[in-house]
Amino acid sequence: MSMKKELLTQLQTELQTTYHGDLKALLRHIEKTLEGKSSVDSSKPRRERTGDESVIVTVSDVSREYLFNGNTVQALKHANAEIRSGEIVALVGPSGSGKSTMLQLIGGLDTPSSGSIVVDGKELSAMKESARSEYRNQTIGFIFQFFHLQPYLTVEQNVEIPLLFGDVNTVERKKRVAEALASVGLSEYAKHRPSQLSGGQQQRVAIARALVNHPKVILADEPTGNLDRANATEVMKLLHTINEERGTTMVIVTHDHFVADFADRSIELIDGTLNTHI
Amino acid sequence: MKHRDALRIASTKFRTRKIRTAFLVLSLAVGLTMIAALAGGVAGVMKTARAIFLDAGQGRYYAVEVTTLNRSENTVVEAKKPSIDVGSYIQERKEQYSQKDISVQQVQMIMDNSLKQTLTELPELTTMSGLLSFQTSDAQFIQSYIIDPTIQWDTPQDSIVPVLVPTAALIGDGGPDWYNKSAKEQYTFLQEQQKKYLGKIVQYHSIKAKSESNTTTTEVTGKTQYKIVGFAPEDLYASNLYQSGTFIVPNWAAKNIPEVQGLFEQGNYRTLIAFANKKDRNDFIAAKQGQQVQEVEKRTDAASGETLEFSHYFMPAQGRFDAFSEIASQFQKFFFGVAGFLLAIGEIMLLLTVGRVVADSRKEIGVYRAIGASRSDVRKIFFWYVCVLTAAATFIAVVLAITGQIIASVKWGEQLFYGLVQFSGNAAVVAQPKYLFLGTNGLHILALFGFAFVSALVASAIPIFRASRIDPIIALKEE
Ligand SMILES: Nc1ncnc2c1ncn2[C@@H]1O[C@H](COP(=O)(O)OP(=O)(O)O)[C@@H](O)[C@H]1O
Ligand SMILES: [Mg+2]
Repeated sequence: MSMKKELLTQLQTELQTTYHGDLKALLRHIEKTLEGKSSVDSSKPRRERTGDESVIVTVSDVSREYLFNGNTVQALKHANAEIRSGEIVALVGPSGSGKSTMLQLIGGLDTPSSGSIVVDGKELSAMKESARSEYRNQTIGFIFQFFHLQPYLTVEQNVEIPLLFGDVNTVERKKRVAEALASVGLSEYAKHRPSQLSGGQQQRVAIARALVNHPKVILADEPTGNLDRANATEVMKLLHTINEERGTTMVIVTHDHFVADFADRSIELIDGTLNTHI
Repeated sequence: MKHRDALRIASTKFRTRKIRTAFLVLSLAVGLTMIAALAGGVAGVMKTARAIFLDAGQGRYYAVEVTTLNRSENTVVEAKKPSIDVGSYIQERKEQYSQKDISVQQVQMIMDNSLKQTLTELPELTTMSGLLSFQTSDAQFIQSYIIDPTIQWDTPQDSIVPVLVPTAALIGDGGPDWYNKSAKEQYTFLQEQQKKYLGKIVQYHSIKAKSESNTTTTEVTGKTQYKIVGFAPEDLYASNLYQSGTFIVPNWAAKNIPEVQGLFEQGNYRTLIAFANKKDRNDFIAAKQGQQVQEVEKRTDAASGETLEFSHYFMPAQGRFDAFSEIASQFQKFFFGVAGFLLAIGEIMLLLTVGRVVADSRKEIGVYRAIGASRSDVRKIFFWYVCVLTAAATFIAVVLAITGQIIASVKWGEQLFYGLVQFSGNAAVVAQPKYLFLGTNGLHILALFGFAFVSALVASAIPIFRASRIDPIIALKEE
């Protein structure tokens, strides 16, 4: 496949998924990128990196193969990456390039076919199933494209769930839920049900749920993929604020350049192989 | 995850599946209700039946009727004609009765049922005074009291022999249309009679009768006082064994009172032995049943000349109770079978429903797993889900079962109670329980809950296991 054709396919996907067929918006984005301008709100200055942040996620020579209809699908090929504590990293790349696979591996939802992943000093593939559950509960906070809130639970009950799996006592639970809801600005919606909230608000509840156990790393798979631009901006700003205030490391899968622009840096995946951009 | 929290999450599942949950709970409850209603109902009936059949004398004495054959060798017994004129005896007594305002039918009944037969069977007793004197300690002594108004009820004195009186003896005052009365009316009357006679002390003369050709001499050998402590089944009244009377004494009396002892040594008795407590009675039954107490009696049938073998060792009260228990347990087995089948259907529905709920909750479980639920957390949630369902079903079952028992008691309680009373020989001094079938107790409820939980968890083990195996990756893949 020639480079040209590949680029064209990528643009086509981008147009369909991120810009919902809005060709003008895509063109504006390309224009801005070519001009070297960021689409991020320019009033928000980028954080200065001191350079002495420790590495929190190390992906070394990781491959992941899937067996699909008797064929081996190589979702990741000898990928290497390092993510430093406190960074916001955007994981970008065309659809099917292995972004979600990467996120699953870092999040302990899946194990690599080969290679090693070390998060917060722990080798994930050495973990037993129960340890991995605890790891997901304590070290990682997940944010999903489709929010995945339980419709029959109230906002505060939804946020509380990870604390139940972590055996946190009632008093502490109350405190942490209130704090998490406050930090996403939804304290007054505690007793509401998710269906009474807008998409952006729902994703903020999901963020509160991801935050409630004070994770070291937040993993988000297309967190704005289901939101309009205004809500997406709100969510990204919120994640940015959290990152600033708490120093939580964030890995955000997206194929929206607008989202990637919020990140400190992007890691691009093409066909299961990583290209790192600073 | 704490069980309390798993229970909380589990119970939220019911909110989203109200109709399905209700349906499932009811289908589980159907089988459980039948089991609970039956177990409790039969327990209630058996409790009363035991009191009716086995506990004589206001619950203070417990009777066992024993028929023994005590012959040392096989004897040929030929039926002999009585040497007294039964017809004129009856006529004579009828006149006496008429003075006492006792109906002819009653006299006839008493005669028919006992005397005639007894007289036929006791050819040695040539005079009525002999018969009566023999009956001082016999089943029919109440009858002789009726017949012979000279016999006094006395005030209590020392060395009183407690006796059980055959209920039939109490029928004497029952009025001319006794057999047209309902079981309930008869029993109510007998209870009144029992109240009247219970605890009474009666004094009889022991008389030796000698007969030589045409003259009879009687000799008073002593006085014995008997205290009526309870009542025996009515049909013990008419004994048809050779030289028998229904000799009703507590077993200590049989051992310790010489004249009573003598009677025991003579031969064949149908004896009602009364015990002061249940344990003694049960020990007695157990001991007798283990012994080789049966002996074969050979009789030559007078008409055909055929030799017949008889082997007797009866405990009718116990035997009839056993027979009734057997019927009850067969009944229970059959309906337990039906209930088990219904419950099995309920359990299959549970299996399918839990399977379905697990399938419907795949995404939810995946999300829970992704945000930190371990496999055992997922199992806990579904464990409690099944437990709450089962608890609801069992609770409904207990309520329905008790309601059913009350309804059955109102509808059929009286009929069954008096049926049992009649079958037992009317000896019971037991009031009709308000709710005969109401036998569910705490232990039943506990057992039902245990049984329901175990079977429900067995049925749902596979879907619960499946739930715990759901891959958390679906949280990222599914909408
Ligand atoms: N469970 C799976 N079985 C088979 N192939 C899979 C599975 N998961 C992902 N893949 C394949 O791996 C590749 C990478 O998938 P994914 O990580 O989801 O990509 P992205 O998130 O970048 O769109 C794709 O070709 C996809 O079809
Ligand atoms: Mg993806």
